[in-house]
Amino acid sequence: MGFKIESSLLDACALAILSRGDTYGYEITQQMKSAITVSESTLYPVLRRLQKDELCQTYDQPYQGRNRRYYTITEKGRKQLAEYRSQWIAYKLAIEKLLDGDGAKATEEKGGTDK
Amino acid sequence: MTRSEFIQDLRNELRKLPPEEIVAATQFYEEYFDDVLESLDASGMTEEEAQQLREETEQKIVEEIGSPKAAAKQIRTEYATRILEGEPAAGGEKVSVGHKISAVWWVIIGICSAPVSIPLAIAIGCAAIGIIVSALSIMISVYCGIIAAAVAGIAFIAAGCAAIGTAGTTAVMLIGFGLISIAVAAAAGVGAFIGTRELIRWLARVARRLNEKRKMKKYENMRGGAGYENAQ
Repeated sequence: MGFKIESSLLDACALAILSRGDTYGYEITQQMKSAITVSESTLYPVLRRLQKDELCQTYDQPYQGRNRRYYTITEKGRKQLAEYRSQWIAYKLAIEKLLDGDGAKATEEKGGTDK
Repeated sequence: MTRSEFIQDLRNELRKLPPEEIVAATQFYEEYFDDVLESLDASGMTEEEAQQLREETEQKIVEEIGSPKAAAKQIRTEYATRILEGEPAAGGEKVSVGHKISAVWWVIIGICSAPVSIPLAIAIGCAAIGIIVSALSIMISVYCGIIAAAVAGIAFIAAGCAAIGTAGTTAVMLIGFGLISIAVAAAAGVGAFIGTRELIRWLARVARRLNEKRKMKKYENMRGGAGYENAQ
């Protein structure tokens, strides 16, 4: 199974993708799916939320006789992404410490109390 | 399910949302279909083969996305969260109370999504109210009886005291009646008091258990509804 991905983490991933350049829905989905297991139906609400929070904006550009909606990160979005990045590092270190660093000790203790 | 069926179902599931939300969501999925189709390599194919490939691909995308119902649920959840958090609506104006109420409605509808659950809930509620009202009535009548016995006992004793000078034996009998009546009232009173206390405790226990169950259900519903879970 894998870990459940929390919505703010999805927001952070989407912002990170957008920070590398303007792109469109399908492309964002593909990039997300290349890294994590996420369904297409989860992604649209994420983009909509980012848009409503003014972390990203959209513009339409004609492409092969139709309009394609591009997403672009805003200044506010970049700030939010930086914030997410520092939060993620702290979070990652804390979890890593718990899982690896004191791993053996932690399981031992757990085994001791879990009778 | 074909592409157009998917879009139609999605639109239908979202019909209670503001039009701009419906348009944005359906546009997103339409575009998604288009983009996947354009990524196909149809070179060297006849027009029929290419057409068939497109149709098969559309079918595959629909399978990947999942049911329009589930997709709509996620969109509604996102919308409801946004409105409940009081974010400004599309025009920049503050979200009105009406908007908030409709968002609350969304959550409620999500919880009682099965069409039978609403009438059933009403029926159970009515039955519960009926039982509580009848229990209260029985309690009140028991207390009335006890008070009546006590009052009668006092009246007997008073009558006996009044008659003590004129008819001694009758007076003693009346006072005896009065004492018996008060004793019965006192015993019944203690019984009724204990009974009421136990009944209230039991009711509180049942209510607490029901509330816990409801909370658990709501929690599960929310988890199901939020759906930021891995596909696996």
